[in-house]
Amino acid sequence: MLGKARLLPGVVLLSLVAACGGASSTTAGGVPIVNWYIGNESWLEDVIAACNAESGGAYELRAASLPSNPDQQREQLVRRLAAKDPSIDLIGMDVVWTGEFAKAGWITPFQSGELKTVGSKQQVFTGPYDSAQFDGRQFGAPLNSNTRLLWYRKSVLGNRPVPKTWDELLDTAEALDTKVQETGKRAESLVVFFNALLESAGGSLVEPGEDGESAVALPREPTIKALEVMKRFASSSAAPAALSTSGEDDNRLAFEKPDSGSAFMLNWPFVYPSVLEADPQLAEDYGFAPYPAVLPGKPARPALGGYNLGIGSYTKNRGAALAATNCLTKPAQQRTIATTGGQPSVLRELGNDPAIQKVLPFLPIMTTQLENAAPRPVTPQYNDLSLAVRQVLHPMQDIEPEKSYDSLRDLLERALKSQAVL
Amino acid sequence: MTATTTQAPADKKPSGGPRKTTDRAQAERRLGIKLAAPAAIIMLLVTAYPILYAVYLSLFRYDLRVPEENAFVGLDNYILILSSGIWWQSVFATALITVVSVAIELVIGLAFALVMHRAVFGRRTVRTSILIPYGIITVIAAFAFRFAVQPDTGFIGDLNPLGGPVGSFATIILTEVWKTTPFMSLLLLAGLATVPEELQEAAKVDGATAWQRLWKITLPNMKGAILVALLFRALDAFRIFDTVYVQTAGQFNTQTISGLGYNALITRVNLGLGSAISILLFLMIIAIAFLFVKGFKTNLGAVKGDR
Repeated sequence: MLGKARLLPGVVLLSLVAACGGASSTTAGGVPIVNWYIGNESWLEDVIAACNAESGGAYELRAASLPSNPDQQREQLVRRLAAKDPSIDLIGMDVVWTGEFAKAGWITPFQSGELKTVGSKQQVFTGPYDSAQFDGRQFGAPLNSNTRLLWYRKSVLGNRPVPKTWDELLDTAEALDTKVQETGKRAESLVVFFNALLESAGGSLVEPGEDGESAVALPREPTIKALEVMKRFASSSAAPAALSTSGEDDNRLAFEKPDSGSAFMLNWPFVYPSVLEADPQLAEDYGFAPYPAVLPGKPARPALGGYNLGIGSYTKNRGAALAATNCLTKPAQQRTIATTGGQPSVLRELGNDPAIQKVLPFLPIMTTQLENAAPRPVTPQYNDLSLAVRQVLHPMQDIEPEKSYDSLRDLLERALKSQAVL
Repeated sequence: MTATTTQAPADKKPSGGPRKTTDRAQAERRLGIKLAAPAAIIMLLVTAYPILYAVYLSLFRYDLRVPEENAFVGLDNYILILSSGIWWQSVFATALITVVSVAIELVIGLAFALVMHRAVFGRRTVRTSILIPYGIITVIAAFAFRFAVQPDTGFIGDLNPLGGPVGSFATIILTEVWKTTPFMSLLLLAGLATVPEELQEAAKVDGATAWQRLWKITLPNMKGAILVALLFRALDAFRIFDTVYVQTAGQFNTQTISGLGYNALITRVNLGLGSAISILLFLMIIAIAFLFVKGFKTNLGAVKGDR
């Protein structure tokens, strides 16, 4: 935590420098520069070096680092894109930004045939592919993808069966007198949690409306069911004390403590490379299982994370940016991202790749989940939608399913018309 | 102190006499205007223009994400805001933080001012050490307090005050008080220095206790300074943003008006709605200033306490 805070000014400074240095679009030697705006990732340097070597002087890919917090990444990008910043060539977009950026005209669609490896459903898993489509066109090139998994401590669970539903999970945790680490702070991670429960119960946040615009879906029964699960979890003895203030990284840290008192955690796969590095011995104790379902017998539809690549509308080097996109989505780079960052590939052909599976033993589960995953709504108003969900559902222990349902529907309806004060 | 300087020219004006401007006086006047013009023009450009532009924008549906739907909507944005429960919740949160923190700051600040005023030895050391918190950037102070109270990094155990509404407000207010009390005490110290020493002496001779002297002599004589200090701090506190953003990000109903404005303008790039929120905040700030000045019936220029 502290380390991150100390790093912050550095990151800010770096992005300022990047902002000032963006004036020239080619190197001194006339090679087009592709500025890639993306959060700092462990695999970034490796894939950039690989693509620059492969390009043979056709372009020079450079990382323009963004803050580590996705909300802050988006804020910086949105401000600069709204001001038509020509230095933004390539963007590492969180999957949920795709609709917003496309609708606003900040990224350009890919023509058919332009994307060599990630242009069709035959090549890419359904979840990530759908997250890149808007208005019938492909605006994003899926780069990597993941979903949350259920992590557990083998030593605590013993020979009890691994829970398959939320009810089983909470029953087991209560019986074992242990905690379930899950995100509860008022942030995007809460929406990730809720969307997974809602989709698993058979509902969704939005649906296509009559005029092609998105409309609020929120079918009553599934929504109430999802809210009840949240309510039960937050009021259960399995809820950690810091539930209402923790995000993914807080969960990871709490679960990584040897005597954490938490036998379960719902989290993205990045926790696995992290524990391997921090405490290889402890990693042996990490078990993993599919994300728990809400309804017995109906597989869970966890929310989808990951990056889509988008090409900025104001770039002077679209051709070069496209070439870089095609290089980054090649199997070789996808493998690097998966093995160093713990973020599985979007390519079907790597779905059971032995090299990746060696590092990410949970790959088969992930592959199934990427097929079933529920992308969060691809809509220009996604951010308003997300703020509205956070507003109503935080703190989780105060949820009253019937009442919360009404306020959620009301606020979402206004949010979709960008008429909500949030 | 700023108040004194702006008031001064107004007091001198009448001395010119009616209709007796000499050539020289006229020339000086023209020179004065010329000298002041650049500053005035820059002020207009950097303050008046953005304010007017915000008023203009607030009358539109103007969302950068759906540019083709932008249209003139009149006062719709204001109606939308004023009929929203979230808005009133944030007005309440802002007012609560302002009133409580400024009240605490006034009491502690006055105590500090008296200490600084009366310190016999180590005067400079005392003054400097009291002022240190004010020299620390708000964001850093906010992070420091957040880390201090969080279970994983803090030193108050598993209390986790930021996990509930009461603790969240308390932490925010504590941070504000810690950070800005020095500013308050500095303003009060300036007022304290103007209380005539003879009055204190006379009261002492008459047998007044220290408590009586504080209430009957010191405070009434520095009413102007207290007003200035309260006004500055209240206006400042009402715009609170960074502490809340860092410590709670608005959870547990601690969202302030500035936070709502930030969400609308920066996060959602909904410039119409965001501008309307900013304008409402601006109007509320003006109202507070007006209330202070009228309510206390004190001339802001009379910092000296001589009415």
